[in-house]
Amino acid sequence: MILFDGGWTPSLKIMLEKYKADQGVEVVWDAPPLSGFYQKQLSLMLAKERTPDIISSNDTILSQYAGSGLIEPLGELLADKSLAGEYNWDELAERTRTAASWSKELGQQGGVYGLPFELATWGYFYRSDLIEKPPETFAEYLEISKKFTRSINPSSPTQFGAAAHAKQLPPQYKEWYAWMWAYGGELFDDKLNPTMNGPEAVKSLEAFYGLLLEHKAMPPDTATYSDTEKSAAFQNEVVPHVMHWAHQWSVYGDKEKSPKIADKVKFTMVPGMPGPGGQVRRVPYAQQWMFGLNPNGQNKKEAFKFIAWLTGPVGMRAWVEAGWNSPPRPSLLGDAQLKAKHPSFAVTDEAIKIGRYGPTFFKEYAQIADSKLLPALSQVLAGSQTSKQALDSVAADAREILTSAGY
Amino acid sequence: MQRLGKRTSPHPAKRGNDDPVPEGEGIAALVKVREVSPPVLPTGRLALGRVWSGERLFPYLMVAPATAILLLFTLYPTLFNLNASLRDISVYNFTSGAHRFIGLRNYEVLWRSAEFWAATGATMLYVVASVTIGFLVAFGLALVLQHTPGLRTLVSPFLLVPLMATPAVVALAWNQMLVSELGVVNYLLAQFGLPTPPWLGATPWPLVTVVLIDVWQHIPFMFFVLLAGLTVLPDEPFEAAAIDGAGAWDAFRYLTLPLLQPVIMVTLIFRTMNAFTSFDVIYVLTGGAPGTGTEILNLFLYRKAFKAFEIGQAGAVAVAMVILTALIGVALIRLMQREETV
Repeated sequence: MILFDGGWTPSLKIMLEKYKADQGVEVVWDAPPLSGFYQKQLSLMLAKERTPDIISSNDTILSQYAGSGLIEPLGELLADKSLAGEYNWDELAERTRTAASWSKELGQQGGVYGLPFELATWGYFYRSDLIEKPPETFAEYLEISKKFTRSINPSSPTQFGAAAHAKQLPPQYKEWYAWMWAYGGELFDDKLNPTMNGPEAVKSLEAFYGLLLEHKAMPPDTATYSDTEKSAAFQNEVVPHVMHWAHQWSVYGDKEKSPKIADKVKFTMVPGMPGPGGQVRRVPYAQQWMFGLNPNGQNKKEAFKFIAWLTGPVGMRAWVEAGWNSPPRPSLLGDAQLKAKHPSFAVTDEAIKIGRYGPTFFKEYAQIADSKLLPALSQVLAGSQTSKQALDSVAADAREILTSAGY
Repeated sequence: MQRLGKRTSPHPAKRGNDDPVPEGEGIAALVKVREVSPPVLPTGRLALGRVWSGERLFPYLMVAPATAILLLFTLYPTLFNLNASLRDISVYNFTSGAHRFIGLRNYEVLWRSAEFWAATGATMLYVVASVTIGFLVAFGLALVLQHTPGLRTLVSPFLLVPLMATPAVVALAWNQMLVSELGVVNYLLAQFGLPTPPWLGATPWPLVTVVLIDVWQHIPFMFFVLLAGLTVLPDEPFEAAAIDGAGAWDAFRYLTLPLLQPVIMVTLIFRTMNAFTSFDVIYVLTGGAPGTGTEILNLFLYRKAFKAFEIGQAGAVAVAMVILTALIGVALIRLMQREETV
C-alpha cells in the first residue's frame, strides 16, 4: 500500500496491526512524505509496477488516474459480498460517492474507482479572546484581518491579520475556492468552458490576495507559506484566525501541540457572502482521500478485502476509535459519542451538506489546476500580474488543453 | 651507484649540481626512452584467439560490469528521454502506448514558451551568482587558512557540516530560520537594529535566499579543493619572487593564480555543473515562488512532468538542459586549455 505520511499515520498503524492480528494478513505500508508522494506513486503506476497493490487518490486526481487507466474499477469487486463484506456504499453522501466515481462520458453516471477514508472540509478557527463574534461574511473577515494588523492598527495584539497557504501546492487554490464560490464565481460552466476569469472570480481573488498586496495584513513571505507556516503563525499568536481543515481542531485545540492558543481557540463554519433572501452563502471546500487498486497488482482480491473492511462501517468506526478524525461516513460524523470526542465532526457534518468539491468529472482538471492555476495565483501574489491577467491566462490555457483533449 | 636513502630527483633539472650524470642520460636518453616498439598486431585466427584469451581478455572482463551498468542506467534512459521528447507522450497515453511521433514539435513549443525562457534566465542568474559568490568566499577562506594550520584544524570540521547535510533537511531547517516573524534570523537581525528582509517574500529576496543557501552549502567543497591546490604549490617560485622584491599582491597575481589555474578551472567546472542540478532546496523552500521567480529549469521540468503531465515536453526540457550544460562545460574546458597554453 502507498499513502503519504499524514494525520492518519498513528491511527492507521494501529489498524494495520489489528488487521494482521484478526486476519493474519500483513499490509506493508510505504509512507513517503507528501512532497514526493504524487511523483512516486505516478512513476510506479506509469512503469506498470506490480506493487503496491493499494494506491491512494484524492478527488482531484481520481479522474486523471481513471481516465488514464492507472486505477482499477471497483464495481465488480464491490458487488461481490464475499469480498466487500458489510461495506455500505449507499450510506455515503451522494457527493462523496460522485467524487469516488468517474465516467469516460461527461454527465454519465461513473463507475466506482475509490473507497473513501477521509472527508475533509474547511472550517474557520479563531481566538475567542480577541474575536468576540466570528465573521459571517468575507467582508467581515477582511475587516477583522485589518483590525488585527499592527501596521494598520498599532494597538493590535497580533502582528498580522491573516495567514494563508500560498505555496504552489493544491491547498493554495482550495483556500481560494471557498472565496470564489461564495462570491458566485465558477471554474467551468456546464459545457466545460473555463469561467475562472469571470468578474466574481476575479473580485474574490482581488479581495483575498488584497489582504497582502493592498493592506499588508498577511506576513510578507506568504507566497512561500504552506500549511506548516500558516499553522505556526496561528499557534504562535502572529495572526488571530485562520481558515483550515476542520480536523485541524485536533492540533489547535490540543494544549500540548498549541500551548499558547489551545484554551482560547474556537471554530465554526467558514464565512460566506450575502446571498438571495439575506441568507449567507457559505461554500466550504470539501475533499476526500480514497483507497484504490493498482490495475497491475497481483493481489487484487485480498487488497480489496482489506480496503473494504478498513473503510466499511465496522473498520471505520474502529479506526475513529483508534484516533482517526475525518471519516466520510455520516453515521460516524453524526454519532453523539464520537462527536463529543471529535468536535470537528459537527462542522464537517454540516459543511458537507453545503460544501463543494473541485471538478471531478474530467481527467484534465488536475493538470489545469496544478500546472496553470497554481503558478498564476503565485504571480498575483508576487505582484507581477493582476488577478484579471492571471485568471485570463489560466482560462486561455485551460481552453487550449480541453480543446486538444477533444472536449 | 646510488646510495640507499639518498633522495635524488628523477628530473635531471632538479638534481643538485654535484650529482653525477650517469652515462647515456640527458635529453637524448629521455627521448630514447619514448621510442617504444610498436605493438605487434595479431594476424589470422591464431592471433585473434590470442587477443581474446588470457591476459588480454582480462581487462575487458573487468570493465564489462561497469560498462553494462552505465549502459543500463545512463544510456538507456538518455535514449528513452530523447525518444519521448519527439513524441506527444502525456500521462493519459503513456501506458496505452497511443502516442505519436511528432518530430521537433515539443522543441518548437518550448522555444516559443515564455515560461521556458524565464526559467532559463532564472537558472543562469542562480548558477552564475552561486558559483561566483561561492568561489570568492571559498578562495578567500583557503588563502587565509593556508598559512594558519591551527585555525584550519579548528574550522575545517565546521565547514564540513553543510556538505554532509541532506539538501531537503537543509531547506527545512533554513525555512524555519527564515520565516518572517517566527524565524531566528530576523529575530537576531532585529536585536542588532538591522533591517529584517522578507527572505522568502517579495521578489527578489527569495532568489537571493536560495543563492545564499546554495553558496553556504557548497563553499566547503570549493574550499577544500582550492586549499589542497594551494598547499601543493612549489615554494621555489615564491622564494625567488620574494628575493626579487615582489609584494604579496604581485605574488598572488603572477604566481598563485597562474599556478593554481588548473585547480580553479576544475573546481569551477564541477561546481557549475552541480549548481545546474539544484532542485531539492528550492523545491522545499519556495516551490518556485513567488510567481516563477525561483523556478529554475529543474523545477520547470518537474512542473512539466509531474504537474502538467506533459512527459514529451518534459523530455524536451531535459534535452535542452543537457545541451546547455554541455555548452557551458565545453566553454569552461576550452577556457582552461587556452589558459594553459598561454
